[in-house]
Amino acid sequence: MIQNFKINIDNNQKNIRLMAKSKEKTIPYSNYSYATEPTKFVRFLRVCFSKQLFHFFHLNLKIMKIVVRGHS
Amino acid sequence: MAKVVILGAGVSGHTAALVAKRKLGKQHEVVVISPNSNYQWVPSNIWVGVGLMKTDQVKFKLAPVYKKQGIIYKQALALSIHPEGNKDNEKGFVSIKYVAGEKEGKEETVDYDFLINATGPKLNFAATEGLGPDKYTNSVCTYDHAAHAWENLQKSLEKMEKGEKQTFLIGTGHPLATCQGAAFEYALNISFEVNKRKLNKLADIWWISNEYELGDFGMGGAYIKRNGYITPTKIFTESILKEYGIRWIKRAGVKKVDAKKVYYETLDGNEHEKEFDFAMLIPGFAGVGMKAFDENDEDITDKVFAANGMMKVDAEYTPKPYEEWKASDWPKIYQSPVYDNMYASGIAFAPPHTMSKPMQSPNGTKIFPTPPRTGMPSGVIGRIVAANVAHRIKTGKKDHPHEASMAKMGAACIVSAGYGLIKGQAAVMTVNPIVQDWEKYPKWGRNIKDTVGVVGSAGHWMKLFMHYMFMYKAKAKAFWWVIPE
Repeated sequence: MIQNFKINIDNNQKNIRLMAKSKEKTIPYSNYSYATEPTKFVRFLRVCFSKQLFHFFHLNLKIMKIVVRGHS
Repeated sequence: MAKVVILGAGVSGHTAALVAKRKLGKQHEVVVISPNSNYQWVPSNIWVGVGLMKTDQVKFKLAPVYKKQGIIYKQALALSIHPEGNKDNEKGFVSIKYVAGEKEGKEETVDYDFLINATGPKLNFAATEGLGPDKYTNSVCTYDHAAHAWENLQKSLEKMEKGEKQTFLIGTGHPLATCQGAAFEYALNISFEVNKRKLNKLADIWWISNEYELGDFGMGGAYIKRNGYITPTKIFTESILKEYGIRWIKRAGVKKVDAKKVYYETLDGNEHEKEFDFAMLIPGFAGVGMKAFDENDEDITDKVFAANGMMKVDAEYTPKPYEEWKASDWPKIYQSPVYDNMYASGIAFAPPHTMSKPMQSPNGTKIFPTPPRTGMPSGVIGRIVAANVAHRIKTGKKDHPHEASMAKMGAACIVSAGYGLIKGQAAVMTVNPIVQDWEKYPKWGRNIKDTVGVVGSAGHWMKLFMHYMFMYKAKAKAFWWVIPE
């Protein structure tokens, strides 16, 4: 288990140094390179007024339900 | 006439005070003791830290609100609790020292029938050498810290405008620090402000965290239903950081800071350094250091408080391995097991254990987040504790009709990532319950139907809406009690 930590963290440190060289370029095998990124369409939906207006009410309602149900 | 004394006027203490007074009316006395003259809405400190809000927008004076509500307010520091009284006092009492006004520096005793300890945490900057706004790093834990962070951030932005590269390091400043959410939010807001000024080529922004995996947030991570998949918060968090051009260092316990570098140990036991120009690192939290004494003035602090200075309540504190932790270990009514008229609310209560799995480096350094209890849970706990105290006073019974276990209540975390009705976005995460219940939800630890992870303008609107709504509520304006925690 500890050995696994060591390998992971050594790789992590190595990748961090590599990543520091460039933000634009994807460095293969860096932890940064394994992260997902939203597409243009997803970014559009994040600011699409009608969708976000629906989200606003939907999320508020959901949070309200969770809070009210969580205590007596 | 009964007397309820509340120590602290933060989210939990202030909520408890307003609820207790509303339920008890003029027949009973509610006293708030707090060294702070202002109430602050802590979640908005992030915006103060990037210059988008002034401190006056996130705080207001407590005294006029308490006067209007008929609550007695003493701007003083609580020094010790005497639950059994002593030879001079029959009733339990608190000894306090005034910190402002005509009585500044004077000590007095305040007796009580019921005591609610809602002192919040001590920001333990001293636990990490070189940490804190008085030394080499910034903080957004209070409004004045956040204003100071904005002053320093402006200096970095000015340097970048002159073509100088700057490294920003945001995250946790102690191997056992919590509140990753606030630091995460600050990192995203810095990135947004840097991009807004088209300075991103000159900015190197780093996230440093004691989490085993990103997205742990001190609650052992979570699973969220998203785009047709059940996704761990690790994926969600890494994706957001990547999108905002922020790199990360995880499993890191910061041990020392100097003017230019942070020194940290990773879980593999290796020591590392990271240079920075601007750092905002969250300190470890501890209890405020109050003492407790019995009727013979013997020190009973160990009986009332846990080793970290937080107050023991109705939780299961028997040490046991992570695999044996249960949701039922967590307290429900926040009552002291030793003195039944004493309660701890918000961050002041001692959790039975962490939510994240304890990890230790080969050198023996414990590196993992302690449990977060800020914001929504603090407010809910303050409300139910006050409601139970009011019930006991009005009925004379000793039962507690109101419960709010963190293993049963849900919470929402809204992480703003930019400001403005059109350009502003936020990540909204909800979990239910906060503490994983692997017996009830063996697959995901929580109710997956209640778990959300979305990014968009709606989140930012919610964060803004909540800022104004909760400030309105805290000012106890008309129908404030209708607004939930």
